[in-house]
Amino acid sequence: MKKSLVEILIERTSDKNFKLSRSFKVEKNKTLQYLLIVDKNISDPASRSFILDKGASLSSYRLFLKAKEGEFFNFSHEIKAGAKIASRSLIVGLKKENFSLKADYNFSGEKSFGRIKTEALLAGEAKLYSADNVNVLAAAQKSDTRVDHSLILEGPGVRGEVTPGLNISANDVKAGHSAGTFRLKAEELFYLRSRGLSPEEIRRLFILSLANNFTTGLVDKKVKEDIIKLIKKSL
Amino acid sequence: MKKNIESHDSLWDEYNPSEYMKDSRLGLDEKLVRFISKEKNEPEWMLERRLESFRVYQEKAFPTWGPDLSKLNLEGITYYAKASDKQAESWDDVPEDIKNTFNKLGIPQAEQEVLAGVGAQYESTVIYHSLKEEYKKKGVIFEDLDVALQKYPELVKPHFMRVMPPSLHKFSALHGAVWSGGTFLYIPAGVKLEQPLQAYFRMNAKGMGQFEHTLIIIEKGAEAHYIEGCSAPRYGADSLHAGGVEVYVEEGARFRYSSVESWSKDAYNLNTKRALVKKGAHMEWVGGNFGSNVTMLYPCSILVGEGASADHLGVAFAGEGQTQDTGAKVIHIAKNTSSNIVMKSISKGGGKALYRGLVDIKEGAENAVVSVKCDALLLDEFSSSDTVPVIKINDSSAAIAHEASAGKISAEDMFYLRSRGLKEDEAAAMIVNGFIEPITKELPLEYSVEMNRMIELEMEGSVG
Repeated sequence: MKKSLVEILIERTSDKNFKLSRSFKVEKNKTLQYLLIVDKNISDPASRSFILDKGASLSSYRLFLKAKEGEFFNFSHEIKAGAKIASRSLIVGLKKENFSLKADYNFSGEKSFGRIKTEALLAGEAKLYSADNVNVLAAAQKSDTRVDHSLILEGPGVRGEVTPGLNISANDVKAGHSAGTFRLKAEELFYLRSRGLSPEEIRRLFILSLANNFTTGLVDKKVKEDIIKLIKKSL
Repeated sequence: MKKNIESHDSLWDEYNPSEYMKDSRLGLDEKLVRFISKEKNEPEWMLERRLESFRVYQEKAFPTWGPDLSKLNLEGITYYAKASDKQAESWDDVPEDIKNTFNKLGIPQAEQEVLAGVGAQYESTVIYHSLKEEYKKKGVIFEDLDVALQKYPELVKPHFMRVMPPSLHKFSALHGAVWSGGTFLYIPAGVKLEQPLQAYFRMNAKGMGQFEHTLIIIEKGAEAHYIEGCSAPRYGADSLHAGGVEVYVEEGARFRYSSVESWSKDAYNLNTKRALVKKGAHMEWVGGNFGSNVTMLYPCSILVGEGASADHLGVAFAGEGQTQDTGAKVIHIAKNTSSNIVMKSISKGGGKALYRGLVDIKEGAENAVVSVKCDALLLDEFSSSDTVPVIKINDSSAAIAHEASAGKISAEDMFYLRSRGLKEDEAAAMIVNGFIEPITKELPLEYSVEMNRMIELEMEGSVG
């Protein structure tokens, strides 16, 4: 069956019409590209709920640049038979941001597919709590799911807590998760410093490379450029 | 360890008459806590600790996470039962019916062949304990903890329930109130044991609770390997095992703790195991969890000395009606510490296996290195596997890698083995044994063979 064109939905917390709680449904065989930009603190916990009908596809991009204590984002997803989700989150906290995120991915149908990736760069006194739970329900045979967390932590004041949960109730599945912390190796750092880059410039380049990776799959070029600009501005 | 097992159930499910149970009673109150302490002629400080633990136990609620414990009737448990009046130094002195049980489990034979020493506990008391003369001469102490409390209070008092305080959770508090028997192992500085030591814990009577306490001190530069085995027959009534293991690994020492737990499938196994690992010391936990109705067990290493390290290797098999909620906790406190966690689980017949882990990098634990790998194998569509790894990082210099996967036996592997003439369940058992091989290869040969055989027995009729 021929699919319709990709629908694009962009939300920014700096938008005056931003709503704390919303639900979305991606209908059968439709494709949605969703982008959430958290560039302004929110007053209360926020939630987003997605239902992906059979054969639907969701590319979810979430960029977190602002957060203070008490803020909380809760995402829930139901992925039905043959539906696909690709979720990518980039979290950049360089000062005293306090990110608290929870996402549930409920794969409820056969041959459902998911790739969930969260990358974070934290410096200064930034904090992150992130829990991604992949729940493969009994009916989701032949599903293929993976969740990955990458944390880059700089400085003595940063804190991170991640839980990449994986709950499997079907046996004929592929499911995996990973979590890791990364730092530039001494050799890599030495090389960059020897080319005249200061530690601040190295970090800036690092974040921009993350930003470029983050925006790779975005359909709209203008949106891509805006995100890069936004991230540059936040540095 | 018995080598030729006819059937899983026929081995562990045989039980002796338990006349001694007429002197015991169900339920727990302060009077019973005082009775246990008086019966053992304990010093006043131990009674005080028991009463304090009992107070904490009463205050603490059941865990709000994890498996459902609502069917566990704590009033229906016998908390203390003494099957034998005295501890034997020779198997000849052990009462005949109890000796038969341990003979069937192969314990005396293993003692003669490969072990440095053996302890055997039946219900609430240790009925046999021995240590080879050559190790006694080196200053090694391997005793029933009740005996050690009388003979070596200067060693027991400063360590007892220090790394496993009653305040940890309801069942550590319960343990602190009613603990009985268990092992005390002390390895003097620099002494390296070439042969492992073993203790075997057996619950025999219906509705029994076993609360043995294992206290192990490995002094500077010493090395040892200690093995625990556990089992109980099935009655169709709940039994409870809430043991406690505390290990103190001093500077530069190395210690391996291996256990194969085969509790009956109506037992609740709510066990607590913790180790304090000092500078340059190394702790290894190797565990196999097969039996029980519900198991909650998360061995914990607390790395308090610079350069301390820990390995956690475990395998859990969750069959019909079983929940194996197991995992590992490592708390990195000192600089340059490292830990390695490898967990494997197999679920079958509606069984539920969970890996629940915590890696906690405390502030100041510079350059901690952590590797976690957990794999789950699901053998049918009724079973489930959950992975809940919590990673807390309070020092940015940590390097952590966590990897997990879940899946079924691959059709290609099965096809290959079937084409070589293996029956379907033989092929499946071979694949499962290969899956857990990283763990079994770390066990002494007899335990490794035993674990593989248990897998084969559990796998019978599991495919097709």
